[in-house]
Amino acid sequence: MNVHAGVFQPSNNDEELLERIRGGDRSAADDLAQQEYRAVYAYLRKLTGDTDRAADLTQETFRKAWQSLGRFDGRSRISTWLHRIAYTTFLNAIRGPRLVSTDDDDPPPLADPAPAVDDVLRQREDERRLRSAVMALPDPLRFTITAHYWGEMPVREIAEVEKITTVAVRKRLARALAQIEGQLTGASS
Amino acid sequence: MNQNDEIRRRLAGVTSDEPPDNLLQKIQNDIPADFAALAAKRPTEVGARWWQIAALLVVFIGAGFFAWQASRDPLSPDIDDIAVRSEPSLAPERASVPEIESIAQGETETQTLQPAQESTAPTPSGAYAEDPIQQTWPSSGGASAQDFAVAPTPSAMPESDLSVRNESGRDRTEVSVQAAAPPPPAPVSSSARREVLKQAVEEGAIGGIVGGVMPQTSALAERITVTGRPQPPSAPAVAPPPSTGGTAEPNDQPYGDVFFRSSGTNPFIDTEDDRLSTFGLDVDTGSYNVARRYLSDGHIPPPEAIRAEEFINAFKYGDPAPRRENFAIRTEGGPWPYLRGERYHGVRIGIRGREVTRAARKPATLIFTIDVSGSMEREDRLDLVKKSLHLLLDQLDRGDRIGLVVYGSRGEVLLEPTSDHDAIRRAIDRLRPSGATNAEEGLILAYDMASEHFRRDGITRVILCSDGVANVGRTGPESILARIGEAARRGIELTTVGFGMGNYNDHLMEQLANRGNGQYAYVDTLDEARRIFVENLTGTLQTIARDAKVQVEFDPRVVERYRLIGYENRDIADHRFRDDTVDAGEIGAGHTVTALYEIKLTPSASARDRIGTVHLRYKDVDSGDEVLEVSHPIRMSDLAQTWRASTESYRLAALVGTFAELLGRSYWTKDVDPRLVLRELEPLDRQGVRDLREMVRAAVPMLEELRRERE
Repeated sequence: MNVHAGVFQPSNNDEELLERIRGGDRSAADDLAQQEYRAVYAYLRKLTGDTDRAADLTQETFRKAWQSLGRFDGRSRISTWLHRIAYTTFLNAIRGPRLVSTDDDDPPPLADPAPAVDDVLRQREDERRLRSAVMALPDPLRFTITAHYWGEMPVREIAEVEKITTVAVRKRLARALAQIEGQLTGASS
Repeated sequence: MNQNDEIRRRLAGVTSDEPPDNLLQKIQNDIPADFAALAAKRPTEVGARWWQIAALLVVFIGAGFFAWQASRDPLSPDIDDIAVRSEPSLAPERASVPEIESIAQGETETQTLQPAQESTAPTPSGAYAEDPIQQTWPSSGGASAQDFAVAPTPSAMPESDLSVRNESGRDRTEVSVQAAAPPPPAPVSSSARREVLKQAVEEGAIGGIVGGVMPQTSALAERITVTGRPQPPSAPAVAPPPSTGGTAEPNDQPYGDVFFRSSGTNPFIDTEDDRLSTFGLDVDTGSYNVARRYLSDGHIPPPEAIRAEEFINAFKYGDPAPRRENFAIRTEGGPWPYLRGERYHGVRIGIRGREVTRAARKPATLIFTIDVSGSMEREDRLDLVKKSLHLLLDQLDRGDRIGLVVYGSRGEVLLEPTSDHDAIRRAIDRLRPSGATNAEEGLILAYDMASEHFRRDGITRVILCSDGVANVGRTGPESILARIGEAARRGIELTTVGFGMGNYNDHLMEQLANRGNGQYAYVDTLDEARRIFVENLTGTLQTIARDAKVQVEFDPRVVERYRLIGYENRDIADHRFRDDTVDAGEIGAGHTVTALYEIKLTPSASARDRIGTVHLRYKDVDSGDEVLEVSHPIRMSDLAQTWRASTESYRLAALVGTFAELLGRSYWTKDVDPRLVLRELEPLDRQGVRDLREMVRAAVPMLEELRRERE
């Protein structure tokens, strides 16, 4: 599964891609989308817990990306930059009116005769709680933790886009994990 | 520490899956035509910072100006009188705002009604009853209470209002070419012709077809013509004259004028007089693109070309798709953009139709009727049509067929419906401009073809691509209009797509589509073509609801007066809301329709009040036109306290509506500074809004000049 191929690929490709795009090469823009969209989708899928929403937000992320391509300074990798856009897009989405419900997002499970139904349900419930706990974090912690664990972004890159040191990123991660733990145990007790 | 590891493990274990198949295609379709230019401009850090400071300054100055402006009380209270007097013919029955599935409030009331059961609008005696005649729809009512449709992308605002899945496809379709001799137009007796013409005029169907020929004596025609006048030729594409008059390139036809018709502007209605606002839904967007074309050419569009609802519907507002029902309804609002703090508020009602996945879509037979008259050679119009068709072809499934009819001096069948993509592409490439414009003959051929290939279990649609079909009037529009209407009743719909503007007949294109139960769109760029042909046409091929109309019922205790923005020519009498013979709007899968109201609250309105109720009534196509009605409450809690706190989607809609009214020279915006719109659009940095901002920026000096002239 190379769902995250876009993230792990070396970035020397980026510059060439950007050059071609600026030169008006439409296929370069297509390539950029092809190279990155899976990783962006995977990130948003984990953030939202919903396939349709993730797909919509992925599309929206790229729309915004084209518009802000001129402001991309090329210092971070394209994938990092896209994750940041994806995250803001996601935030805007959940900040919108009437969208705050995280509990009722998922349609009721279909009656499925497969034996693993209970497991699936339990996992879904666990993930839902985990997601709520993540969403309850203050914003800097939330971005850091989702970018790192769901966006598979290395600490160094997070430090770059957040304009903080790697030490600070690690501190944030630790604090975030502790707070999530507090949320989960607090919620279950 | 161990706990942290556990959480790490769980974080890493969150479910993911493969993106949907069509996602990449959708993303790539969104790549703007000017991507290279967008990528090129790279402001430096410093530059960007200065820009931010400048923007801040603008906002501050704007806020100050605004406060000052607000203190001047631009619209004094006695304005109502003037307004009602000034538009006597349009006074009563306004209406709008439909709805279906409640989202946040989870309050969905649905009912099925026998068509003839209630022919008059419900007017519960005196007090405002909660949904007077609602019953719960047994099959889904129970579930729908928790059936919150989660808005997928509130941020996916602008751009077309039709957000439908368009799928990639390298599927094939066949094609066959056949150049048949066009049958002559059916002869019609002159008295029959008069009769049909009269009928058409009364239905507002051919308001603009024949310009001077139109019977001015008809009362209804007068109503339609509140401010509209046949425009002298204006040729925006090349050198359009400002607003009116001028020397258009003469079309090769006698009636080749740019032609718009205004339906006036809705007045304010006192809820004491009429608490019901009723109108048919409209998903067209052509007016917005026509105006954009004018403005980008440096001219102010004629006010008759402005239909505010089409401006508003040209944008997406991130309304959630329904999960199980046919429609989801969302209501939101806030202070009115130019009357803040005066109990004037705006309410946006977004109605989104269920989407139909590509796999579930019925096979389609699309009959393209293409104008290849000489004028189509100009500005590469025909070229744009060809490119559009190629774009569309990529979206079609194996089961879909395309047929081509062309008309210049004569109509000609170029291709019998086929799914052979190679043959279709060859036929498209053979399109050449030639001769005069005999649209009628083209349409007749197209409808013959459509009838012959009609499939009860599929979608059959005629798509007219033209830069204006003014001369159908010469041989008698009545026969073709009758034919369009008759075919629509059998399920063959007509979509009209306008290209170019030299001799463009906007009104006719809209009304033809209206008569054919289809949509009207205007294409001026390849981007727009992509939007129309790729997103809208394929995504929304399947009609899910017919004769959809909305009635908004306002509570007089909470709302003093209300005004519907746009939908002037979709007005339906209140008492006919439950008359299911009334022709109203057709909604395709994934369509979104937005209605915008300006309301004035009563002094006693409180935060827990209910402003009113949206009723949406339509025929459900899947169940064989069963009539369904759903309702959705509008609550005070839907309104944000301040403009800044309002949702971006509401602000965008309100600003788009204001801009449309400015361009339409509405009475209500006569004291509004167009720069306000420009300023307030600034923070709404979304795709599509850029375009809009450019339009507003171009319009500001022209609007100011008009205003000076007036004073």
